[in-house]
Amino acid sequence: MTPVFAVIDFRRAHPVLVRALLTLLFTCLALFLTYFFDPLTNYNLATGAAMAIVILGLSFLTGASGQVSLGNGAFMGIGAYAAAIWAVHHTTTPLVGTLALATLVGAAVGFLIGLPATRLRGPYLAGMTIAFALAFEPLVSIFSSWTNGDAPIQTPLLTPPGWLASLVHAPTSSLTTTNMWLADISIVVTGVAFFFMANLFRSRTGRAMRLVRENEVAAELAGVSLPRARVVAFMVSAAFAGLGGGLTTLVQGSVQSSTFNLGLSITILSLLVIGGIGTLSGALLGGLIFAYSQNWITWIEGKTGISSTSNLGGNLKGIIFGLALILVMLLAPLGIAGSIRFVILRQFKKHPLTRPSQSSTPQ
Amino acid sequence: MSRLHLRRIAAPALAVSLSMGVAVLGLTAASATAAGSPGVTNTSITIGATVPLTGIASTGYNEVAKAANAVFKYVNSKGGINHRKINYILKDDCYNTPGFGCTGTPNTTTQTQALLAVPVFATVGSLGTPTQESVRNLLKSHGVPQLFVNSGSEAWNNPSHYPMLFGWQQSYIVESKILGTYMNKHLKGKKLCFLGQNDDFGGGGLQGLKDVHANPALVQKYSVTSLVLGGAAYFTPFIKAEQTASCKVVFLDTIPGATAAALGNAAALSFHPQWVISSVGSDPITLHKESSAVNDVGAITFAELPASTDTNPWNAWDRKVLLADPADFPGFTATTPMDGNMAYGIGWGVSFVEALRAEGKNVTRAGFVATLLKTTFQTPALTPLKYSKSNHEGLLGGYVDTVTSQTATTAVAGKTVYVTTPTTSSKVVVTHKVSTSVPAWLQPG
Repeated sequence: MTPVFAVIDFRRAHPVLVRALLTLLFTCLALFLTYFFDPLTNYNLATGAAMAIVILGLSFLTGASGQVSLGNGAFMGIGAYAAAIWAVHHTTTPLVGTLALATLVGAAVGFLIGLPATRLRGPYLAGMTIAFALAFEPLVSIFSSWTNGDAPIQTPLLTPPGWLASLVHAPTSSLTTTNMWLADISIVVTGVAFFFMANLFRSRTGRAMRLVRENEVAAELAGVSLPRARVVAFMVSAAFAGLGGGLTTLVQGSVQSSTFNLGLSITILSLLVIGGIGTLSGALLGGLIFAYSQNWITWIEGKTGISSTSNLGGNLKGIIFGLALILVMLLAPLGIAGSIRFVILRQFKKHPLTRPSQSSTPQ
Repeated sequence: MSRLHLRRIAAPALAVSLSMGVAVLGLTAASATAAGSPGVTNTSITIGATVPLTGIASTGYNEVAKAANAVFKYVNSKGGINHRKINYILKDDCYNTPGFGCTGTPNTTTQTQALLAVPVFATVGSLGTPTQESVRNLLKSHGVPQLFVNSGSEAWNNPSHYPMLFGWQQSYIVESKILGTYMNKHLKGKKLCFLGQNDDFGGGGLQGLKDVHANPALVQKYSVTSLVLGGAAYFTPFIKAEQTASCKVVFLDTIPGATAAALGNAAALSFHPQWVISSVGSDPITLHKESSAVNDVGAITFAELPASTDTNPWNAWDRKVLLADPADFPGFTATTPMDGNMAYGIGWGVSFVEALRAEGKNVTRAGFVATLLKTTFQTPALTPLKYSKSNHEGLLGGYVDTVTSQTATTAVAGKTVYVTTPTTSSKVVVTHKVSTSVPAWLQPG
């Protein structure tokens, strides 16, 4: 038994290190797989991963601090435009720098939006975030000297390095090499973002957030500053959304304000609910659904013979999405990934060996 | 591995593996490319386009690529071109805007990547200025020709930076120069006001007017996003300002939805200037679909293709082609009015098949572009379609039309054909129409 408890001890003593190793493991596995995927799959993984980061940010805001936001599409747009405007004028900045800028700008705007949010609860907070989401496109239109107005900004395409080209035995310019590079970058950035969030969630700040969500009075009594917690939650959520937006822009090579409308914010929240609020795997699943839902619809249409131009076929996506949302909220409110995790954890908790012990010290 | 470790990592590992497994499900089958150009085999050529089949820009515009598809199907039914059938893949990008009834993937880059994965030989007839601007670099970096972009922006006329990028219709500048010339002659002395879109559509349009010294007294620009958010009420201040300024002639560089908003507001305010409307937003049938309450009867507009009511040999052929494609045009009969979108799609559809035929048996991307640059096309358009090393724009002229009913337009000014180029200094000249009839190889039978 001693080696087993030694492992528990190790994990308790060095949680960050264990999380880092796990992140490294999953990231390397995903990077390894991109070598075998075709270019379109790699591209979809890249955009899906970027969206997973955005969903994770909202997961923190809603799951950790209990604040509903229907404005994360706009935060994503802000990060997207920050990255685009910078990348167009400063082509020599490394990718990390541009993404860091997008994250910081997101956080700054999150701070601004978070301030009035401290005074609002429930539907009023949701209403404020909706107003922000609606204001995004007109603001981009007004500040057209910066944003190119309604027209897109084209950013320099990400070019893969020579060593990757030699690895896949294809020219740097080929779709295989280019899209593999896009997927690799996105996977690494997503790994870093998820590692950060995993630590944040279990840190003192994260625990304070969850206490605020559960019981505000108890939180205040425990010395947690409510306004500070709420603003920090918005900042983190917006920073993640900005990072996801910046990454999406650089992967796609262009940004346009029409993408970041209220519908996108609602989509992000829906994907979060279906995937699972408050879980890392839920955000990943949400990103995957975002990238692949159209492919799955087409597959279903192929198998069932429904024509995509018929009334049913044209609305299939909405029907399935809406149905999934209703079913999840009724039957599995933790979301798909959240429910799976809950079931597995419950199984392990039943086993005598793995039941959480009363004392924290081993025999 | 001990069960303790499993507990903590099982769920996320399961989720990630599930994710990966499902991603693998989404793997598109590797397509067998023939030794030769991508998208070309001995028996087929695969081309594609990103178009707004559903969503915000779909009214009317979703017919354009389908009309071209009807041409391709017709040619396929006659054996194809050099024994190759044309396989046209349409991807719905909803004009890169989610919502508004979009059932496709509202992201032009994603849909273009899907086309690249097929792979397609070229994109032919993708629609939209912002949408196609955003994928220019992607297509260029992978050597995929971007042909016959459905838009009048000057952005496609950039041979030095984008040698494989070609427009088809005349640019907004060319259209305005011609309409401005007409206004100078026939509406002289009447106060002119301008209302245009706040991008290169309105920008080019205004530039063209100024180039021919048809300077508007009042210039206003609208934003599409504001129109979408605010509806027709967004246009009320614009129309009121024109009424207050006593505009006698109002030039609209507007998309159909915006034209409808302008006309609707004007009717409500009892404001009846002479409307001069860009071909982009003047088609009466499309306008009726946008809003059955308004019509632009009496408006002056521009047309690069003959009116559907003209006794033009191409019109009868167009109708045959559309009738033969009930999949794309269900319910189309011998008397269904043909709108401008159908004629437009057939126009560049014919251009593509003519170019393909001119290239011959050996089809390559570079060869096709070379063929485009040296072929004189015989299309339904009123002016010659002739590309060159300095002109990747396409058509350079047409008629001035008037809208005569809710379903038809007719040429004015004695069916004069005006031609010009986008450069400021070039004049608008009158030319003889290229008398085109349907080439023998396209004739039915």
